[in-house]
Amino acid sequence: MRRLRLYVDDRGRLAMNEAGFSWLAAISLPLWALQRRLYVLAVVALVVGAAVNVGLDSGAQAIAFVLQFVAFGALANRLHRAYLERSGWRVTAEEPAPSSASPGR
Amino acid sequence: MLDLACLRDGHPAGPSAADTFGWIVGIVFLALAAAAIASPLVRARYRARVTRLMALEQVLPRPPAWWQHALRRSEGAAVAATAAGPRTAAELHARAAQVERRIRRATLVAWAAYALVAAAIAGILGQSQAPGMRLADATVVALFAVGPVLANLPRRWSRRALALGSVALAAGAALGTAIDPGTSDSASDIALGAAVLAVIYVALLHRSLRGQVLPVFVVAAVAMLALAVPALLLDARIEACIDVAKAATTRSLFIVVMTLPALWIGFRALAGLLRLGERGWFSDVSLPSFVALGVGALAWVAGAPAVESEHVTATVAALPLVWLALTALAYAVALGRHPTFAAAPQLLMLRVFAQRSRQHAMLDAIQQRWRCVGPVHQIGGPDLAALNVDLDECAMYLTGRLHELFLPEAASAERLQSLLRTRPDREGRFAINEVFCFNTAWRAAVEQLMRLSDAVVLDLRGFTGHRRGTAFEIGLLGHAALLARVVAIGDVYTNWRDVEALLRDVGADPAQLARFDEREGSDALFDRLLAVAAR
Repeated sequence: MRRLRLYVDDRGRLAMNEAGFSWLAAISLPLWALQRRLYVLAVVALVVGAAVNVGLDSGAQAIAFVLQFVAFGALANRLHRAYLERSGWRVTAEEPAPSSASPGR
Repeated sequence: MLDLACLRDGHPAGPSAADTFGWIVGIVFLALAAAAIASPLVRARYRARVTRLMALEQVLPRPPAWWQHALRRSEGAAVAATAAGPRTAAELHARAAQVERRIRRATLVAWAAYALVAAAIAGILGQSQAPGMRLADATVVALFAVGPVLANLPRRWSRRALALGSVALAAGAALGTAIDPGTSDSASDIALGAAVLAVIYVALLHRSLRGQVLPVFVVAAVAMLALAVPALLLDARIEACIDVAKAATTRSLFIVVMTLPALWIGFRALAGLLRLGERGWFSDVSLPSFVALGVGALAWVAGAPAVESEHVTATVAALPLVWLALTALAYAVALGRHPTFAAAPQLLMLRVFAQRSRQHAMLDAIQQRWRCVGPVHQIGGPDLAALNVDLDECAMYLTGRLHELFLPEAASAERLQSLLRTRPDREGRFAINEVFCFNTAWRAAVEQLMRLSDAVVLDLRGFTGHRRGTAFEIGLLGHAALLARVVAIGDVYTNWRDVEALLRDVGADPAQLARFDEREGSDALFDRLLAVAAR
């Protein structure tokens, strides 16, 4: 199972990070960024998406989509985590490793 | 390059009012169908997310700013509990009956108003204005509305909303066909109409789907309208100003650029709806009924002769909204004055986490009746995804912020109480509070909830000593000497010997635990719980 981590900053804001491939980021990076309140990234992704849409022919667009799909899906969560840790967010809660999980309810 | 001046100044023939209205109707039904199709997937994903969040363990306490933010979120809904005044079981029973009567009366008045509006607008819609035909139109509309009306009534009626509503819908369709024999509708048109109405019914009235359908529908419908209406208006100008090869690129660019703002508008619309709900303007029960009536009104107007012959005026286009507003007004007037807030007994529902519908049916029956006298509290879990997912929870899930609803650590009684909604809405229904907890918080939270509740229903159907969470709760109730507040439901699978052993382990007398056999039914259980709360 992929590991879930919850980060908090001094203003009490929370950010969820999940390790592994992100299907949402692969399909739509702007939506993925909006869900995480990364508004600048959402706008940049939107502009790049629009530029690709206008500037490339349909064959090149298909290749660009496949490349984006793989790259964004594979890297988004990893980069998000690095961004959170470099920006002073701290882990406030995390999913226990499978072997140490208590049965709970 | 795009000729922006041409786009701005060109005056090509825009879409007709009939086209625009047709688009709006199509989008609303498309959004509803999409929401209905997506809702089982949303529910499954929601359930999986809740399960994972429940397993989280806090490793660092939250800063005070987070708690302030969490308390602000529940502001307006939360009122510190006051000590319950003297009350008897009979008084509580009478209060529940009064609230149910009030809702029943208002629902029937709204039903009558909804049907009468259909008769009143026949002239505007180009339908026959003969009194007999108007009466027949009103009857068809009234039959369509049977399902939404039943869904808003007390549970002994609402549990049959889908079945009885479907029968009434078929009767309404037969009557509608009989009174309009000259219709030129083909078999495929009739089949499409029937499918649309069936989708409305199942999507918005199905007890376990409507919690997910409604928020997805609101977001999808508003976002698609925000995307399609400007696109429709711009399309003729694009065609007039740009050559065919570039027009397709311009359209797709427009969609790429506008999708995010349109989604944002959709989520803002949902947030606005949530705010109205938090202020008690409607309950989670009445809202799906009103939405179903609104979609039905839209379908009725869309199928009217005036629209089919493309004589769509602004008045005709506004009719569905006016119709719904008049129905809501009738409902509000019939409800009368806002019920005064009184100290209300609080019920805690503890259960073995299970997915069995038989268990859900009894718990649902109890919570629906109890919310007429006081708030209901539960520890949130994946098993309740089919029962209690409200707009707020689903909206938080859709925006990726479900984790913000979870308690990370033990909270003081005052803090926990202030997070709970304990005031009734304008219809008189109290809230069902699902308290979501991380693994590091649920034990403390459940103890606090036990202490602040006047009655506790402990669902032990299927319980064995291996259910560690429920076993902890039984021990806690015994240890805290709270067994007098508890009614324990059992079935043939309940291992009462394990229950007794758990109570003896904490020094409590098992005889103090009031047992209830599920075969006695939910009415008897409700009476038992009222008697406990009245002590």
